[in-house]
Amino acid sequence: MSGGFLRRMLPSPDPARPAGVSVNPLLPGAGAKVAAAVTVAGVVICPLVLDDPFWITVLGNAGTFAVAALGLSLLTGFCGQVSLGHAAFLTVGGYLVAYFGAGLGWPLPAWLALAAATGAAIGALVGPFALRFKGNYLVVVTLALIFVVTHVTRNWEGFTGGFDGISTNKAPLALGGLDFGDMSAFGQRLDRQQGLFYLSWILVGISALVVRNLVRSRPGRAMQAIRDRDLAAEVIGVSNARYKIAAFAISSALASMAGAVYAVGLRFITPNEPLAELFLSIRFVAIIIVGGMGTVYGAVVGALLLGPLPELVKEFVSYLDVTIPGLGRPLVSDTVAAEPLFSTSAFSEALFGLLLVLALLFQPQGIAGVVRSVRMRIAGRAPR
Amino acid sequence: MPGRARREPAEEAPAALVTPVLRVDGVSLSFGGLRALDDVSFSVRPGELVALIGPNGAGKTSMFNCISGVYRPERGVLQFSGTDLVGMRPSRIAAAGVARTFQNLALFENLDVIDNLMLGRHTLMHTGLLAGAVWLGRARREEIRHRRHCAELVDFLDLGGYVGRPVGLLPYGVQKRIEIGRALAAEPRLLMLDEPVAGMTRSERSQTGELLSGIRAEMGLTMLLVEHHMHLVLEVADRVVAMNFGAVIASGAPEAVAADPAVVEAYLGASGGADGTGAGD
Amino acid sequence: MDKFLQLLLSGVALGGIYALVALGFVVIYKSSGAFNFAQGGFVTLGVYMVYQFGTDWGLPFWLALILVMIAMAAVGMFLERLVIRPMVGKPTFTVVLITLGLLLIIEQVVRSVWTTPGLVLSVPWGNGRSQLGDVTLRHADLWTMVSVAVLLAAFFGFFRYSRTGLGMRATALDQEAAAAQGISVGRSFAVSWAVAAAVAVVAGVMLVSRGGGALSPAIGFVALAAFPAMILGGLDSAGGAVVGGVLIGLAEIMSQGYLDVSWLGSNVEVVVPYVLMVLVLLWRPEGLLGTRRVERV
Repeated sequence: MSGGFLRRMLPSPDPARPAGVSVNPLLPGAGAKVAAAVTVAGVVICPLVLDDPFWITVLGNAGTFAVAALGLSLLTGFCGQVSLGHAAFLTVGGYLVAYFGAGLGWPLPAWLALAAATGAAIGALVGPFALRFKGNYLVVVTLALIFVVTHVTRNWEGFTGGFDGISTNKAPLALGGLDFGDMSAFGQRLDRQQGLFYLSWILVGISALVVRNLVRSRPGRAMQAIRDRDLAAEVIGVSNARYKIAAFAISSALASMAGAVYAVGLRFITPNEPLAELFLSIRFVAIIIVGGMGTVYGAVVGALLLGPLPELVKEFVSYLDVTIPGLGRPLVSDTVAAEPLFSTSAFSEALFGLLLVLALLFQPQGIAGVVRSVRMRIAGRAPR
Repeated sequence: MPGRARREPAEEAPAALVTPVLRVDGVSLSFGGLRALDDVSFSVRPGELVALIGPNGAGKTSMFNCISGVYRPERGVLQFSGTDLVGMRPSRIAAAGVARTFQNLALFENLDVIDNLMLGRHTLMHTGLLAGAVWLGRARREEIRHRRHCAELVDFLDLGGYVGRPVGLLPYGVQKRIEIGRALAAEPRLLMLDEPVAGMTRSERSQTGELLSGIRAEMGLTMLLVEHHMHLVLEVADRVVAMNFGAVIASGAPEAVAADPAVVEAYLGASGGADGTGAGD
Repeated sequence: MDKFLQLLLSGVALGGIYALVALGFVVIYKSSGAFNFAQGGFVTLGVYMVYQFGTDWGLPFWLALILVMIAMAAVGMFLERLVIRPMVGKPTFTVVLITLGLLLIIEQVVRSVWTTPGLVLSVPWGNGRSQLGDVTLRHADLWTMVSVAVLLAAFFGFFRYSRTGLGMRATALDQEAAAAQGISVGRSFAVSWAVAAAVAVVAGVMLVSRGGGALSPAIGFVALAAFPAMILGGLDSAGGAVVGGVLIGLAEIMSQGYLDVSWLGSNVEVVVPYVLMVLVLLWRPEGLLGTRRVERV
């Protein structure tokens, strides 16, 4: 880059980095292209080669978790608004698909759109509170969402089935001629779980694209400005009101859609678990932190690694069923009679807590931070 | 009210016919009984560079915050090109054409130079949520067009060597320059700079002085400057408004204000005199 | 009138429990500016330890209580040193998230150590009650109010007159400036965590004795109702925590006693504190007795 008003007077720029600005921000690097291609190929092949229903379910659920995590990533990682209410929106989506999809027989696009729209509407209602309450306060105010939604699911029996819960099993899964509930691909008949796997990962693809496009363009940049310095952003022309509300609405829409698909996979939902729980909200916070805040792929990677943790603990409990010497009790077991130190659910809960603490202490930038430093090391070795 | 009679001596007949870019009239502000601004009045005419000077705590930054809508004055009129600013949200004031920098850097430290400059252009762009999410056609073209503009600005400010890194990691002087760039990127009709050379070394100060003259020469901007350093003020300002304890104590031509006994006393009285007048530079 | 007095008494007593938990929040907030979600975990762990020392091993109750308070203070200091101190200077929300992680861990540790369901804590006042005219005074409630009063007085004296307390207030205002004045920021943090954990023991004992002594690993959830109490009262004010706690306790009990809220469904009292908190905050963002802050650029 030639010229420069202050050229002569300033310390010369870092020679390691070529000066100049890419005017087209949308050219992804070769690495990102390869990663995207590998991911797509993996997603397509996975249900065809894995005939273990356990893994299909686990990876499908990881997909729905990734969709919700992308939402929280936009809200917290890019817009800086910490929310403990994320699980409440999954619950909303879950009950919507139960009532309108399974109950009234609304088709897939209709219940999915309803979940997204309702999530967005409730999220937009929460948004204004984020203008008034910041940081710690917002954490507690969003926590209130969990209590309110749990209360509603327990008591609005006509809609939610109350404590008895409600079935989501009959929710239609057909999209035009393509029925995710009964599809065939490459000459293979696929069952409902395999179909749901594809449905969730298609949603992951769409949500990831949407979030990535947003954060690279004007609205997402405005959100990041609010995250870094909200008052300064307002002063240079970024309306905090508009973008905080937008971030809450989009994030909640994604969570609500994810909750709907997740609930269909569960076949039956009750107010007690596993939707509207503080634990689930913390899980999503752990997912985006371990994955790496402020990156799009971090949310997906975090969801893949941490989303299925409880299921994995349950499945592989026999490996953890080791007796602790001197205590005579196994570490984890699913039989109460064995007097384990931890039940399977307690163990995965504690594990989430531990991972969250360890990540914040030792790798606050998460896996994305590790990737970044590896990349920089490789770049550093390249000849200057 | 000392100095009140001296207010606006530079208001000459021909200038009065021109609508000022900024008109401040009788603005008062207090924080829980503490008077931050006391009946402050001055104006900035098109193309002018007016400097607000005064010791620490004189109310200069409070004045800036009133103009950009962060604080709401209890009394008084604030007009920007004839539009009332009092009660407008800060983001609307920015959209109307007022851009500013901050005394203690307020860059978006996790974003890079380009993104910070692009945020300066936020109010000039139109891409909304839907267009941004889909990213087709117009949104994309708009993004590229504005990035090109920012690239020119990067070149103008000689920031090319710092692109691609979070600005929070860059040297202080560079960050100060980026902040001026962010305000320039907005193509403002009024540029307000809050202590642009605070905390800088002597050579950085003179660079910034040249930068300000360069901005005026190339862009012909109307500017309001808050500054401690009398040296810089004498060099670049057309007119000076001196404040102390929230009130205007003198205003007029730079040399006249600098020699005003009330101003000299204010500077010597406050310990700011040592670093304030910058007489040794 | 008797009904009103009776409800007033219960409301104040319930509020006292919230206040005891909220005092623990306040002391940590005052020194570090962060919410401690693990406070509920401290409450649970503390009361289970009192059960262990007193009821199970047969130590006199008051001795057990004091020993556990000392032990929990050590636990608090240990955790602070281990996971909070390294976060000094980081954004407070990372500290908040760490305390969330601690909450998950502590609750599960309690479940893993005390696996027998249906444990009952015995306290000297048992289920005793006295009759004052037509109003019944439960001794558990009386003790709750006494401990609130004693702790509030102690807090007041501590923050107003002791060197450490003054240092903590300075630390909360400005860590760097406090350090420059020779105040040890680390020491302030450590003391606040120790005090919070010790106060949690009292809160846990009072909470459990009010419920007849039945222990459950889920009792820490009371902390989630005490959050609104703290925020309502004003984050940085011990007196505010008590006022907020009593207000929420009263709102809960009075609405149960006078309003037919059956159309709102069962267990509506879980939601009440939060609704009340949001309403008060919309009116006074700094809480009832909190300090107002001016935002600066």
